Amino acid sequence: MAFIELNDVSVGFGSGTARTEVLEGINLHVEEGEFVAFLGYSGVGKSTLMNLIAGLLKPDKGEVIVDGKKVDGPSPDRGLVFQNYSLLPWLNVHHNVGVAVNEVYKSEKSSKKKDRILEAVGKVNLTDALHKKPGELSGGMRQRNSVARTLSMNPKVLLLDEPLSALDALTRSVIQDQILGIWEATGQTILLITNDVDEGLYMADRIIPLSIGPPATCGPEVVVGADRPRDKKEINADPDFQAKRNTVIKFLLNEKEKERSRQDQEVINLPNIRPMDISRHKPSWFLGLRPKPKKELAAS
Amino acid sequence: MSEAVTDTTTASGLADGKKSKPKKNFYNPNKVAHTLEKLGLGYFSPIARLIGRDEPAKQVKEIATNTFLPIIAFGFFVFAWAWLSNIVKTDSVQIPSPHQTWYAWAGQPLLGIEHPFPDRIQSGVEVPFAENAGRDPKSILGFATAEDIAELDYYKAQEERVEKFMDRSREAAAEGDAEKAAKYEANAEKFAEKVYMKNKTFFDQIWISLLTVAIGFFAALIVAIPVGILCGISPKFNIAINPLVQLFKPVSPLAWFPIVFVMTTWGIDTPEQTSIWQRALFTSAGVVMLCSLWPTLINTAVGVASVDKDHLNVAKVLKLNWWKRIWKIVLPASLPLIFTGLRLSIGVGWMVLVAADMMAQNQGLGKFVWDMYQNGDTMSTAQIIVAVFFIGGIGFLLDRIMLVLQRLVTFEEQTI
Repeated sequence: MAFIELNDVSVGFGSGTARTEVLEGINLHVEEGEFVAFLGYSGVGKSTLMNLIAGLLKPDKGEVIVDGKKVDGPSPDRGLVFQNYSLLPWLNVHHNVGVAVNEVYKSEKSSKKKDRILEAVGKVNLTDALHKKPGELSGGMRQRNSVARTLSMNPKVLLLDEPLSALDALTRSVIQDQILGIWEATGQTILLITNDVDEGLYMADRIIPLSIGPPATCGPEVVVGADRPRDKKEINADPDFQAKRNTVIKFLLNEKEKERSRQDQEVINLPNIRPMDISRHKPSWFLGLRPKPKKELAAS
Repeated sequence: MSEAVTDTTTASGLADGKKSKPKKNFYNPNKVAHTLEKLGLGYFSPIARLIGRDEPAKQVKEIATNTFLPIIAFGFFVFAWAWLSNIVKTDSVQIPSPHQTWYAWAGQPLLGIEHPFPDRIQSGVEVPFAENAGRDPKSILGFATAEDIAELDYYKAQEERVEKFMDRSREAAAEGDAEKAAKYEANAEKFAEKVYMKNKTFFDQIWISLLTVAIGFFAALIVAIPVGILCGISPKFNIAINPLVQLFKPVSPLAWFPIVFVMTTWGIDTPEQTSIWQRALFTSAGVVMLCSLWPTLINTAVGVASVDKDHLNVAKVLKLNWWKRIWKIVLPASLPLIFTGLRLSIGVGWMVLVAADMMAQNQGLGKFVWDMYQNGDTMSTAQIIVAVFFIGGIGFLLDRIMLVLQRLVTFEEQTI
């Protein structure tokens, strides 16, 4: 039995005629200590998938099993790092992590709790900014603060919901390496959502692309299989790696194509009748001002 | 040769620079200025910068602008007021001139200007109102002085009287008449206990007004914040409560008065006359509460309802219980809006207070205005104008205090 299992999971939003199925028939097996990346266009339901595993959402059909137990609500065992950091803006780095530590390790001594906070903050190299509030931190530092908060709970699974997509390219690659460093040090299972193919290939063991829904399903997985630590330049030059990259991109482009053709089919051809103009005669000027000809408007 | 010399100096300079970190400035004008601005004392921030020699020319200009423009505007206002007071005049009433208003406050005319109230001139006296420290006892400061003097006189006379009884008691004791001695001593004690029933001066009335508003405001806060939180958390509760809120929000304090009056008459026993906790004070505070409740309630409800969903997700992931979720996430997140509500509330409360005091006959500023309006003295309208300045000034101060509190709890929103 795999560490994380999703068996035929479906979920949708709304009810009645307004209902849309977001995910359908998702089957997923992730081993302990694995690093899996999910790739897909925005809006296909990647975050929904993450929320299902985190326990913030309940599947309408099927079941989510983590570590042999059925997921029934959120738990500190499954640490979720939010896309937009979700730091509490009135608390500094120390206290933002402290909120999590105080809740998960309620019974511990306060000195022990403090050690845990400092350890988590140290893991993401944020010790210098310990007493700064989110408003005083850069985007990258905020995300590191958010990661530290999640790490402080010592979760068995780290769920990263597009943690890097709001960051600039340089910060991004720094934090990518930091996350990899943490993963190697702790051996946690990591699920990463991303919309960047290269990021997925660089970081993950396996890539699972999601089809464009609704409802979305898992596409054919790609096992990266390159040795670690990976060197970005080296793997980019590797033909085997390039082939894998092409497979993923091809799948995604193909999905886009399918979506377009699906939309074409769905268009119902209306009879070619022009509706009669029953609106009243529009005045050609208003408050004594003649409307400017369109050309003039464009020029001004 | 010269080259070598320059080289060494540069090298040593560099080494020095490396050894001693750049000196931290003891006085950081920008930081002080920023703090002043945050405390609502933005007027003083250019002065703080000037002390730190940060672009002195610019600061001087700014200080001059900030100082002289308001003074010029105020000058125009006083001028227009003086002009108006010459025009708006009937046989019995008139708008008091600025000088008359000054006299109604200080009880002394400004030097070198014609006396503003000819009927108050004491002819043939070297120092007018000499027995009252030179202040007209009908003016605001003069009345306060007169009351102080009267109080002093009272206690002096009382002391003498007590002393007299004690002397007699001692005499009687010496004569061996213990019964008489005890009687005299009891008399002395009785007199010693007596308290002067001081008339309420303008300043006492200000304190009573502030006390009334404080009671009304805190009562409003105690009701509005919890109800607002419930409204924000539970849409169903909000649906249930909202019609009541909308119905009672626009009601005038004058309409609330009789209802509150009935309630305080029913609920509060008649206190002693010397007590400051008069029933009228609670009636007035009740009216203040009923009017200042709504802005806090509505702002709290909006603040709680609009807490970032991500913050609530954090609470869910951490499995915070209901209390902790409210206390650690919802309340801090909505504090800025709650304080906006409180600031509006205290403004409304202070504004309503004068009317409430007038109706309830609470010994506050409203009572002062009412008494002045009723007594028909030549000076009374001028005294009302003094009261208007005080009401405005205190309202401004209250607002500033709330503004500072509001800024202290406001955190910088995350920008993504």
